[in-house]
Formats: sequence, C-alpha cells, structure tokens
Amino acid sequence: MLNKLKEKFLYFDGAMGTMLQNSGLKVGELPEELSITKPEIIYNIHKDYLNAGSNIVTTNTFGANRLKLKGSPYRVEEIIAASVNTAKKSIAGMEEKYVALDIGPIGTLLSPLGTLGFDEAYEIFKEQVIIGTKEGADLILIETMTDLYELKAAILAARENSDLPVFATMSFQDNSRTFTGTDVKTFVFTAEGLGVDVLGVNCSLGPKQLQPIVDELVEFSSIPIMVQANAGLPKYINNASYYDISPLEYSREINIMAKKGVAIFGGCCGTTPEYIKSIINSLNKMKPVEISKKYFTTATSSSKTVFLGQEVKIIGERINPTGKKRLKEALKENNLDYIIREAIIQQETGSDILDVNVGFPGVDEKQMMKKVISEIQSVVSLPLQIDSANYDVIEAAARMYNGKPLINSVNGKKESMEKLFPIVKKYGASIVALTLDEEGIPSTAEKRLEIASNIVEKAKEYGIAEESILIDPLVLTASAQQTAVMETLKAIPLIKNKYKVKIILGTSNVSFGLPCRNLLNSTYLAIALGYGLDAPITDSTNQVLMDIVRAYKVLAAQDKDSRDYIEAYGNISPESNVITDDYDLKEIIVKGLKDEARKVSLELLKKHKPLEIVNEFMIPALDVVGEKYQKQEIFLPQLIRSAETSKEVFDTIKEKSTKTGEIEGKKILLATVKGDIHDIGKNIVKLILENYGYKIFDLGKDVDAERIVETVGKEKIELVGLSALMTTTAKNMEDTIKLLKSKFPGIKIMVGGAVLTADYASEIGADYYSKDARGTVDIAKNAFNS
Amino acid sequence: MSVKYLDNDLIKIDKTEALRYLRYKNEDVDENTGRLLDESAAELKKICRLKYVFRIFNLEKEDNNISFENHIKIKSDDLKGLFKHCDKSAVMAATLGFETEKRIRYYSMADLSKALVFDALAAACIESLCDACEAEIKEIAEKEGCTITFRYSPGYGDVPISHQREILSALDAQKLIGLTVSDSSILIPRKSVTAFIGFDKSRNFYKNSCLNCSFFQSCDFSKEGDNCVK
Repeated sequence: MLNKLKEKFLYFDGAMGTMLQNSGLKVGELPEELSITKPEIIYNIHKDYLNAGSNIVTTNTFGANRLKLKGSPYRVEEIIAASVNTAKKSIAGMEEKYVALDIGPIGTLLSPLGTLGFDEAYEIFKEQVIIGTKEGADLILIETMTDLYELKAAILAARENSDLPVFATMSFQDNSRTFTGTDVKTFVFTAEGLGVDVLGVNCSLGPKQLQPIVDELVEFSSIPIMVQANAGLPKYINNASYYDISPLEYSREINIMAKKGVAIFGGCCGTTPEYIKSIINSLNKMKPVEISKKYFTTATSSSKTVFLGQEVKIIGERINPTGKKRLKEALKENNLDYIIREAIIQQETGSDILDVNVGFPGVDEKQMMKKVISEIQSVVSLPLQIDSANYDVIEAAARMYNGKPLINSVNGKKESMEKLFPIVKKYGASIVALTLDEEGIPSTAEKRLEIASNIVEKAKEYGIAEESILIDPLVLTASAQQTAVMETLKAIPLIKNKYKVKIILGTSNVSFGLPCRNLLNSTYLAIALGYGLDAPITDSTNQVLMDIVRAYKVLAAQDKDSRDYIEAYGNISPESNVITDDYDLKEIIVKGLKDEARKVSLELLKKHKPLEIVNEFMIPALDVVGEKYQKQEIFLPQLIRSAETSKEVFDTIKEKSTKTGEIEGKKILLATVKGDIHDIGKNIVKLILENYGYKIFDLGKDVDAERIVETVGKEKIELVGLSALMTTTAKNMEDTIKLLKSKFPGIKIMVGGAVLTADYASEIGADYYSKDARGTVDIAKNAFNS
Repeated sequence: MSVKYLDNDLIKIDKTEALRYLRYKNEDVDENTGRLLDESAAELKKICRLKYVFRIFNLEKEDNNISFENHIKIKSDDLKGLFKHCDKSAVMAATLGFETEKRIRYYSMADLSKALVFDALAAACIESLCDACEAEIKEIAEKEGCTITFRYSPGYGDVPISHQREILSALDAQKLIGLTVSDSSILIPRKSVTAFIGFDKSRNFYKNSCLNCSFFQSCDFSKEGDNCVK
C-alpha cells in the first residue's frame, strides 16, 4: 500500500461522528456500540466513503478501550471484532481498499501530568491492537493524540504486538502545540524514532489553519505525511454544530498541502463523502512529492527539541554520583527533591540537555533511574541523556522516557554494540559512542577515527542512521599522558569529515591530578570548541566554562547578532564584595533575604558550631516568624520566604559540616494520599519541618498506602503526615490511616488539607489535625515528647 | 455548544482577589510579595491559554433526579432547589491549560513562595475566565427572557465531583479545550472549572454568597467561621 505512494495519493475516509449524528445517533449512546447494535449504519457510512473514492476506511473503534467502555454492556473484544468485520465487509470485492484499526486517546491523562501509569496505558492499547490485528485490519491508525507520552505507549503497543503498518497523528492548537505542550518537531522526531510508517496531523483546526503545521511536518519528517483536517472551525447555531468550510474551499487547501509534500489525506470533524470526493478531484492530475531524507541530530523532551550540531549545546553533568557526596546521600535516602533541584539549577544556568546517572552501590539502579527520569520530566523541560553502564537500566529508561532520549553510551566493543544498538533502534534514541574498543583507548587520532568508523558502520547494520550518533573521542589526563591530550581534539575534524555524526566530549578529565583545574578545563574547552566540538558535557553552574561557551558562540557566528551574549553580559555591574556584617542571621531569616543567607552562614561557621547556629540563630528566628504569622502581621508568602532562607542556612551548614548527624532530628514521613495530586501544601509543611531540623521522608503525591507502610517500617518512622485536598481522596486518607495503625499500633498520624476539619480528622482516626503548615511544628514537638 | 479561546489581553487577573486566597484581607503587602505578585501576574498572563466551552441543555426533572438531555444525570436536592424555576441550564467548562499547570509544578520545586503566589493568581484568573463565560451565557439567557442562577459546580452541596466525567464528555471537553479528569475526579489541568448555570424564566435574582463560591469546601476563612468579605 505504502509502496504505491510514489505514484498515487492515498485517501482515508472522513468523519465518522459527523455521519453518525446525521443518521440520528441517540444522545448518551456510545458511538462504538453501534457496531453491534446497528452495524448497517456503520456499513453504509463506510460504503459512502468508499464510493466517494476513499482507499482506507477507519473502523468505528475510536473510543473502544477498556476505560471508556467501563459502563458499556459490550466488551472491548466484541466491539472491535464487530467493527473490523463491518469495515472488512464494506471493502469486500473492491481493489486497493484497506481497513484501518482506529485507536483514539484513552480519555484519562498519563502520569506525571495525570495519574494513569505508562504501563497501564500500554496494556490498554495492547488489547486493542491484538484484537484488531487478529480480526484482520490492514493497518493501525493512532489518531487525535494530544499527549506525546500516551502516543508513545500506543506506538509501542502497536509495534510490539502487530506487524501491521502504523500511522500516527496528533492534534495541534493554533499555537502549533498540542494541549499538553508538544510541538510539531518534537512529535516528528519522537514518532519517527519509534518507527511509525506514516505521521501527520488531524482534527482541531481547519485545513487553512493547519498549513503552518504542515510546513513543519514537511521540514522535519523523513517519512510519508498524512493530514486529516476538520471542515474548518466549528460554529454553533441553535445548539447544532456545523463547520464553516465548503468541500471546494477545503480541497483548495489540500491541494496546497499536496504540493508541499503531503501524500495521504482524509477528513476529520465535519467532513463528509462530499469533501473526500472534492479532495480527490483536486489532486486528479498530480503525483505525490517524494519525501526527502533529513539529517538532524536531535534529542527531545515532551515539549522541546534540541538540535545538536547547529550551535554548541551544553550537556549538564551534575546528576552523576561519581565524586559527589551530597548526591550519593540523596540517592541512598531516596531524596528526589535534591536531584530535581540539581536539574532545575542546571536548566536555569544554561544546560541544554541533562545527563542522568544514578548508578551507585546499594541503589536499585533500574528503579531509581525510572523514578528520577519521571520526576525530572515532570518539572524540567530539557531533554535527558540516559547514562548507565547497565544495558537493562538503559532499556527500561529508554522505554519509559517521554520523548526521544540521548543514550550514554556505546563503545567499539562488540558486546556493547550488540547489546545497545537494538535498544537505540527500537526506541529511536540518539546515542553517544566512545572511541574505545577491546584494546582500550587508542593513543592516536587516526585510531580514534578507525573505531568511530567501526561503530558507525555497525550501527547502520541495525538501521541506525549516522546522524543519530554523537562520537566522544575521549579525553585523557594531561598529568598522566600529556602528549595524548591534543590527539583527542585532532580526531574531531577527521571524524566529522567522514560522517554526519556530531562530537560530544567530557572535558574536565583533562585536568585531573593538577592544581587549578578550572584553568586547564576552560582552556581545553576553548580549544576543543575551535576544533569542532558540538556538545561539551560540563557543569553549567561553572561560570567560567559558560563564559567561554557564550563567547565562542559569538565568535563562531552561532549567537546571531550576539543577542544571547549581550543579554548575559550587557548589564553586568561589578559585583559588590561588601560582607554584610551588619545583618545578623536572625534578621536575615526574619526578613527572608534568601540571597544573603549563604554568605552570612559561611561567616558564622568560622566562629560557631553548626548546632549553635541552629539553636541560637535559626530556631529563635523561626519562632519570631511563626509568631508574626499567627498574629497575621505577615502572610504565607513571607512565612515561606523566611523558611526558604532558613533552609538555605541549613543546607550551607550541612554541606560544610562533617558530622551532619548532630543537627539532624527525628524522622517524619510526608505524603499526599493516593489519587490526590495537589501537593503545594505538603511541600510547605515539609519546608517548615525541615527548618526545625526534622528529617523528612517525602514520598510525593498520589502515594499508595502500601508504599507508606513499607517506608515507615524500613526507616522506623514514628510520625506520619498525610494530606488530601479533595473529598474523593479523603477516603483514601482514611484507608491509609487504617492500614498504618493496623501495622504499627504506636504510630502517630497528623493530617491536613483543604477539605479536612478537626472533627473529620478524628473521625478517620488521625491523632492530630493541623489547619496550617505552621501548626505541624507544635504537633511534631508534642508527638515526639509524649 | 460554543467554544471560545479568549485572547490573553482580555482577561483581568485580579491581584486583590489573589491576595484574598493568600488570606490577606486589607493588610498592606510587603515589598517582596508585591514584586512577586506583579512579576507572576505578568508571567501568567503570557503563558495561560484561556479556553472555555459551554452548551445549553433542556432539563428533565423528576423529583430530585435531574437529567441534562440524558448526557448528565444527577440526583440532588440542592440542584432541584437551584433549578426550581429553570427548564434549561448551561453547562460550562473552562481551563487555563497545561502550561499554567507546569509552571506551578516547576515553581513548587524551584521557588515555593513564588509557587504560592502564582497558584493564587491562577485561581483568580480562572475565576475571571468563568465570569467571561458566564457573561456570554447570560446574554443568551436574556435573549430568551430569562435571568441566570449563580454558577454551581460539582463539589458544592450534595453534588459529588464524580460527575465531572459525564460533564466533560457531554461537552466533548477533552477534544475541544484539552480538559481531562483523573480517576479520583480531579480536573487536569487543575486550574479548571466546570459549572451549571440555570436559565430562570420567572426572572428571579440570584445573589452570590459563600454557598456558591468555588472555594466553599476548602475555604480557610469559613473554617474559622469567618469570611473573606472585608
């Protein structure tokens, strides 16, 4: 079918819903049920479209998934079987006609935006795919998607459970993003990477408004493109909807799209067989434009694509436990907040992609990697580089990653390539390749090129294009192998001249074992950029290194009109070095002067013990703040700012002190209960309790009771704080309390949240109720004293 | 049914209202909070996507069973009371979109005081958006010679939020404005509202009170027997 695209356009049918409404679908009836109750109506709609010239009819299964059919008397299997069979009957005896198994969105949003699990979504789609394939559909159409993550689950389900061609479309708003924020190129690179056969856009807008989206599809896609536009924009008159574009106007726009390179057309809301007929007429004498192969090197999140090789991009290196005490601790303690803050600070300081490595003895790397990726992706919009030495960790991460990841790394060893390339291919990732093989790291540039060549050629055998590869020519340390240092850089042009690969390099090893490492690192980085380095793996919080990158981008004409450079340096005033002796720490906390906190704490640490700072400055200051808050002299934003300032003090002390044990207090577990995703309140409680030295185990939001029980047992926690904001989830709070009390009779539980009251709290078995965050401090004191 | 994407310039983000959500009554705002408020309001205005959809249904009432042309069926004494003089009701859904949601999440990790202020402003913003939608509905009602009731949302009184799913599906809200609902009936994006507005043919006048405020269930003022009115 797709082979014929060189010669002929392919035509889908138009809207099913519009036709059903016209034929008198009863209100409240699920349209999918008609495949069983009134198959003749569906059959006739298929026939109408086939007679209008459609090559492909779409089964009446848009919402035929187990969640949407919950209240229906019919099972998924019955509806899909009946729908596919009706469609097959309609094409019987006709030539070049096909049946598309239609799969629409599940209707419930995936986590972390919603609460449906990725694996659960996969299972839902898998069921549809297996039944539809078994019943004899010719292709799978995944359509009207607005969430990239859900699309990924659907594509994987289709590719892993069927050999049928997969067509995938998303719906975009007039700002060229889907509702959940995916832009066109991110969709293209992710879907193409996952191996769909055709990609495109449908629904939400009329053909005219879709033109800019089509332009982008054509610019970035290397595979055939399909468009199913609405018949204009919906207008509502007397409660009836109609669409404002006639078949003729519609097909005029389609004609323009065909000239741009779209080869497959159909209709969406408001279209009828008339529209299909009109499209076909308008393309009568034309042939599809051949789609050209594109050569972009990319990594994406769900909302952002980073192009490598067009200008220097920074790979942030801070989320890697090697040599980092705080991160190791955070990993051991499951302290994801610390890791997320590391992600945020790198995003804010100019990293373009973040490396994520959580491999550390005593940590379940696979579970941790999945958790960390999910959390980072829910907060930060940068693409990630999955970094692990274990193949199964990489596979698990690449699978659950939302978007097109970068994987770090393969090397020239046979085993490494055989294990990793299938993963890279399957999940459509870009891959970092190290120039080392069974014989180790080569000493010359030429030998590095040789290994790079081996890797690139081997990758091609797996169907991985060379532009998906970033070669790391590996830096050696100047202290040990001084003459080898430049060989790494000489390899860069050699490799780039031969292949369309990009160059990535961790530069900081070069200075290992020598003093003033920053000087060597920054000098080496500057030289490497001159040799053609595309993506340094580095620390974007390091001002000197970022200075060099920004300056280089000006000199290499990558920063157009020096815009970024001027923005970064145009208004710089010499930093004041006045130590604010006159501010004492207490006052700084009370006033919430977050930026001063660190400096002053460091000064104080020279004269005072950590515990003294906590007891003599922090706690009294916080008490003052708390009192003012209770008297309504200050309000929540100020209370929080003081708390954040105090946290900054605490973090500084912790960082500098070797015996953190003595300033760390009792353990408290906090969680927002199952089903609930409101957690600002819980985060405030956490911050304030941390201020008072309590050690907080924050399990986040939407937390299973079992997970809470497990953590309480493992960490021997005596006080648990639960929050719920909705009436529906307060019930889950009650269940959680029951389970906790049955397992740990002595445990103390405090609760809070918008819909709760003191009465309700005691009714569901909580020991304490707090009406606000500040109140939890007294509760904690009380709980640990009794 | 009517769908509208509102131009961001057309919405008023009421900072005073946001301050009320932060439990201020009349007190002066300190400089830092003031700056945060201005900065966040400007940012919110830039990134929110204001969308609403509504549809007007004929009501069928049998005692306290109320049906919106079979799309939504609710058993409720409160709605029965509200719709005493109504044969029709508009059902509306409004949202600020996912970017607002994402920003609130981001700030709750990066800068908690900003998250709070941003969240309060977004709450004020969605109220304004609902007002805009209500104004459009009111105009339609006027043409039919009706006054309108106040906005009544699932979660008030005896109407459980478990009706959210039916409401969204009756309005095709996922497809039209990108609004979804979780298993525990939480609207996602969270800065979203659904509501009923009855058409009163006997032209009664309905007054706002705590009882029909969106924050009725979770209001800190009312919990303490207070209210937010100065």
